[in-house]
Amino acid sequence: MIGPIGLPKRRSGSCAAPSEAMQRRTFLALLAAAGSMLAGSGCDRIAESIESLIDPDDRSPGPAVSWSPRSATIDQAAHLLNRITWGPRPGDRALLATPQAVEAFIDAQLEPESIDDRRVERRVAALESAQVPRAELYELPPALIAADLARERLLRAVMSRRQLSEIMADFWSDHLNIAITKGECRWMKLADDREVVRPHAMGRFRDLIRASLTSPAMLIALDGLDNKVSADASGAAESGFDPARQEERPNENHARELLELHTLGVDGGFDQRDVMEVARALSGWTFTHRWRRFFTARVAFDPARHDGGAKVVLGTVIPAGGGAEDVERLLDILCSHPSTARHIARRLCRVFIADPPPAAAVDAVADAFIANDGRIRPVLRALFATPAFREDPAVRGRLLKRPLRCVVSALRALEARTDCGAGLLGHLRRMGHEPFQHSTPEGYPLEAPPWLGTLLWRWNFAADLVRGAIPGTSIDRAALGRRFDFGTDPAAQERLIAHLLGRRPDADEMEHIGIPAAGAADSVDPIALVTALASPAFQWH
Amino acid sequence: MALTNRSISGPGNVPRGRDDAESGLGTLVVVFLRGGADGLSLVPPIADDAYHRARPTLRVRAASAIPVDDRFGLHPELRPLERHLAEGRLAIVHGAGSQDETRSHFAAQDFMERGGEHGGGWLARYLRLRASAGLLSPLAAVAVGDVQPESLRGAPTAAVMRSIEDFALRDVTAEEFDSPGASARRERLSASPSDVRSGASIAVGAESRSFLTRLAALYGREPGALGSAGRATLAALERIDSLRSTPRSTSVGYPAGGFGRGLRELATLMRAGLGVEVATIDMVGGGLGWDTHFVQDQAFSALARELALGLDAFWSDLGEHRARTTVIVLTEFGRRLRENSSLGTDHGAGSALLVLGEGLRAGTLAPGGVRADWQDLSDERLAGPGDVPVLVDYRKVLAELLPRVGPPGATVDPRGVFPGSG
Repeated sequence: MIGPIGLPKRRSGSCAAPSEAMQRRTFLALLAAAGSMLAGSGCDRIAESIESLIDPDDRSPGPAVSWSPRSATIDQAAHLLNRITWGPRPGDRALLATPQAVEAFIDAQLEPESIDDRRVERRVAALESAQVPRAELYELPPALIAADLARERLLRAVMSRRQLSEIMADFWSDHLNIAITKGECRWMKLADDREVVRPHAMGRFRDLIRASLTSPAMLIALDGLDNKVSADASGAAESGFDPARQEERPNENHARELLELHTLGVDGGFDQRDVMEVARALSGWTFTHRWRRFFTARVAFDPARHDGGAKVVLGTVIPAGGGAEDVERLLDILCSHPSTARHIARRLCRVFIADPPPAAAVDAVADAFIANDGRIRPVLRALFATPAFREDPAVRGRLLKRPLRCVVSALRALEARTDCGAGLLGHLRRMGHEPFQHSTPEGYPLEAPPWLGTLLWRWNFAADLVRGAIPGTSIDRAALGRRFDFGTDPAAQERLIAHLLGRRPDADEMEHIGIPAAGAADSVDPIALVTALASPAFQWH
Repeated sequence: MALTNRSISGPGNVPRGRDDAESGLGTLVVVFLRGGADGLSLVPPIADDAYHRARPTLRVRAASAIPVDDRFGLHPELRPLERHLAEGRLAIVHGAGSQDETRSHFAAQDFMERGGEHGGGWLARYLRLRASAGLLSPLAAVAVGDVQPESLRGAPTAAVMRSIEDFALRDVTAEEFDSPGASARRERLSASPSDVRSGASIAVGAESRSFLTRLAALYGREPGALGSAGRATLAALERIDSLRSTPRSTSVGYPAGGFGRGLRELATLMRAGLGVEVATIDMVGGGLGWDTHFVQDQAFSALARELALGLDAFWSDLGEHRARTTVIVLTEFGRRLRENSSLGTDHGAGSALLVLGEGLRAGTLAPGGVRADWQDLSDERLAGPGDVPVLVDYRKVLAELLPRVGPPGATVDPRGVFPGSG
């Protein structure tokens, strides 16, 4: 009984319970059962995919012997790994040994299609919801969708070789935040991630916002479905809306967030009049959950609900009669506005460089945004070329990791095997950073202060990770020991700690983390490992 | 605990125990009656003929009710709350609830805990806004129970604990990592003088320093906000640790069961001044809980008794923290006026909401009495299939209580906590 509980009440009266519709899962289960009787090979394939879900076997490429930072401060290569990836794995540092290698690395990350990522794609494809078309998502329990969505985010962050893409996916998820718990977003947020955020994460800003504007989840989350022309009342009854619950005016929620959060920014120079005009331009988009017994999950433009008059947005006229094309004219205005360029530049610089973001870098990135028509790749390339990002030692290691990064960077650093399942999510929930659970449209905060209350849970995560107390996630200390030449290299433990901190530990850290002053440790000291992950230095990146 | 004062005392801004009293930090305790509690039995409209007619077997008779005013009484098992009513610190809002009309437990609880059709909880939004006004204690939000409630979903910090012991740093010891073979090897190494001089013994020595001591040293030297936060967390752990050995109050008689146990832990925590700003605790009771479709009478009496005894004991146990504590008792919906054929009641709409606190001001609330915006429960006044109408949005009451939470002056805009509820 998914529907009656999960559907928002205002629409629940207008459609029958989804349980009456064709149950794809039931069908698939029958098919699988039939298949296993007929062909053993199919069964093996299923077993293989389940195995791959439990055991990623994701060892980083590169030399078997790991190469740790030798500098007492975070050097440029360590800095790049800290910011362009979710955290360095043991082999990664050695790959950036030369300036040419550094440039090649950045180039590749900016062209994610050039990177073979089949291993993580296979893992993600094995998720139950992965191949389910948008409309059929309604046949899945919301809990499964939430778990799959979070698991995909984690799997990709931990395993994907297209690391920059994954950072950008997270960036846009916050920028265009939709909480998965609101109404039908329980199902449609997954479609939003698949159809809006991921395809455009490294694409063109305007395409991203265009996709978002008519994404079912966004229309649900920001009440765009309630946004219709004032005069119209007849169309409402036909499409199943309860007119008694409708305010007889356009709903401004989506318009306001589009201006305030998605494009211009709160100080971007718009006023209430602009909000109302944008709401008029966006009016008329509808979402059909189902048609008779079939789920449709279709977004369509209904001219009867659209305000066909002329609109004036930020001083520019959108002529009357544009209909569905109003959205395009609106995006012409918003996406090319200098305030939008600055707003996006500021947020990018805050995530990649420093908080507060350095003014010169923001200027350079905003200029690149305008010059490249909001194409994300040249914008990021410009950001990576700023002196603040590239050369300034003062910004290195001075961004507080949000809990998701804290967890993912630890998993990557220790080459953990993980199913990215409930055990790991429980830790993120305690830290207040479970993917897709932020309630309000502004997304999880980028700044540090709201995250400072999470330290105890970070410390306990470190302990549970190292002691193997997280269900579905484990580290192999013996393999880690071999990676860092424990037993032969007297400095093995120090090198392992340096790998975790991105620089050599200072004398105090050596003492408090518990690094043997002399003599070759023959295995990784677990308490030192826990302490290093829980230390202040590991909270920065 | 091997923490020295030196290692944990940091510059300013660190929430200090017992100093909650000095700083005047207010705490909101949200008691949720899961299952849909029958407001008409908690606070029966004893003067209303329609009520008596609709509930021939389940009604609370005027003679047995605890009188409140000329319209309402309290269920006889709520006797422990009588003194609070008389002393003006109990306020009741009848016909309170949410706009959710599904009459589904799941949907209605979510709606109430999220404060509307939002993702994430209303307490979480409060804490997010509060966090930008000053450092939150690691124990700013405490959920007593096993799971984080929806109201705290997305909170910047939330300690879920059944007991004080749950707020603890993992005890990482060398022994637990030792496989039998490894410890045998260590003994063998230690037996050899040459090995003792080498790395093996040093490693053992390093391991003997606890995880906690190491953290105290590392965060003790960390500058800035992260260092402060680390030291504050360690200080909270130290205080909690001292509470572990403190016997819980025995003079106060809590009711048996999870609700009483949880409240006792919470009172101990709050008395210690650990910066608790919001706390949640569910009351489900035994048996079928508040969802009394079937033979309601006895089950309800037991629940009402447990609720009243628990709240009264909690209040006594709080000591001087009483002055800064507000308790609100919520339920997802009330129950239908007319009793059903199984001597029970079905899911309804409005219920009774209780607020316990010193110095409650009249507004939505009527301290020391019942606010009910209906004249009687005749048919034309009922909502939907015959339910007490929701005449007061529960969010209005919560918004009114917000200034009593957190440090004085750190006001949080209710519009941010309840977006769009206007």
